Amino acid sequence: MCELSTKLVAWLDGELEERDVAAIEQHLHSCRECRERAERYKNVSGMIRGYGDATLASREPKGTMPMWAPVLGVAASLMLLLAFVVRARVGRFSGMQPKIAVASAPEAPPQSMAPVAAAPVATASVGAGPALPSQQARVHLKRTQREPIESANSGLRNANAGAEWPAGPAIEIAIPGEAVFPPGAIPAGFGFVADVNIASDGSAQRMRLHPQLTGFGEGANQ
Amino acid sequence: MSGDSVPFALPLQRLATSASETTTLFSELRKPLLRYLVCLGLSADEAQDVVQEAFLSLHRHLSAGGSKQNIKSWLFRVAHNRARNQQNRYDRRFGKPLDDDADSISEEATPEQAVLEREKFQRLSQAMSELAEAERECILLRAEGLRYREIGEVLGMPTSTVAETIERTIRNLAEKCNV
Repeated sequence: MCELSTKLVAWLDGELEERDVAAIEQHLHSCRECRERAERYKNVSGMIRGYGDATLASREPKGTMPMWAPVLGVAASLMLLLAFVVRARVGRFSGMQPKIAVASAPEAPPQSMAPVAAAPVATASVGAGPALPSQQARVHLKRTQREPIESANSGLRNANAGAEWPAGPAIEIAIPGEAVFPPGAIPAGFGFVADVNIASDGSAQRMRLHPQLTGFGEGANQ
Repeated sequence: MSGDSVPFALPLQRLATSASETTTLFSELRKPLLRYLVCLGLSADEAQDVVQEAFLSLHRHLSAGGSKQNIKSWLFRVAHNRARNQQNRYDRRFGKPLDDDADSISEEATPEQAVLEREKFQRLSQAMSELAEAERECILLRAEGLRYREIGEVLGMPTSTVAETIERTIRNLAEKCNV
């Protein structure tokens, strides 16, 4: 066996330095055995890639859609929306007008703001009317700590002394699927709920995404 | 800008940027990670869970201002370690040979070609199951396009050892599969 044959796999993988590449290629011109060996290594490498695909295909449940493809798309959109919503709400709680409003969202109706006035909890509905379309993503956001919001909102807290801190999400956003995904990307009645815990420094400490196959509440019946 | 919103602005901006980067990496690396994990012996559900956890770790890593260098090997390392934990927890046998339902590899072949292809992959599957753990891991990571240096980072071994292991394993598999 040629001495250079031990470098054939590294040559196929592009892992050799230039001078070694030149030596191997020159050798291959004159050595039929190494040419055939390199061809066999190339074939078996292709088979290993096929083996991976076949293993994955044999283990994946047949007839179901891959559920994770759109999840992080939702997460990315969520984070962008969250950045706007939280900043807007911080400004509102402190009695100041936010610099950045939720530009793409319709103004929340007065009745939906009533719970906000009763307790320091923000509820935002972005791009969703009373009748939600069946293709949508809905997001629940939870804070891990209430202190930062309370301190930013001490005036409101004092004005509402005795108000109960609600058990539900601090912020709730419903995003129509059409606003996040291209048409047809999500089957009818399919969506996600994401719970995000926001730490006192504003960073996301934990995010859990729950696919939902049967739609959401009233939206499922549309 | 209001003074109260200033402390939120930078972390949230970083969060949004990190989510966007994570999304791009997810679409690029989800399938290679899944393929690697099921070839290690995880079920499809377990592999999905590990991949999700790996990307959540990545999101936390990036949003905390972590390094963006060698992200691909970083992700594979996280997924690999989590898969290893699952293996220890359930005493799972890695490298289970392909089942008979690997029909997807020969859907467009003639019956004769299908038989030959099936035999070829059964030989490869058998040979893969007989590999040492490090050999199988090196070969599978190589099949996902990782460089030798990156494979070394995932498995915690020197690049020269990776190169030797891959050369020896490919030669071994080529002989056993008679290609």
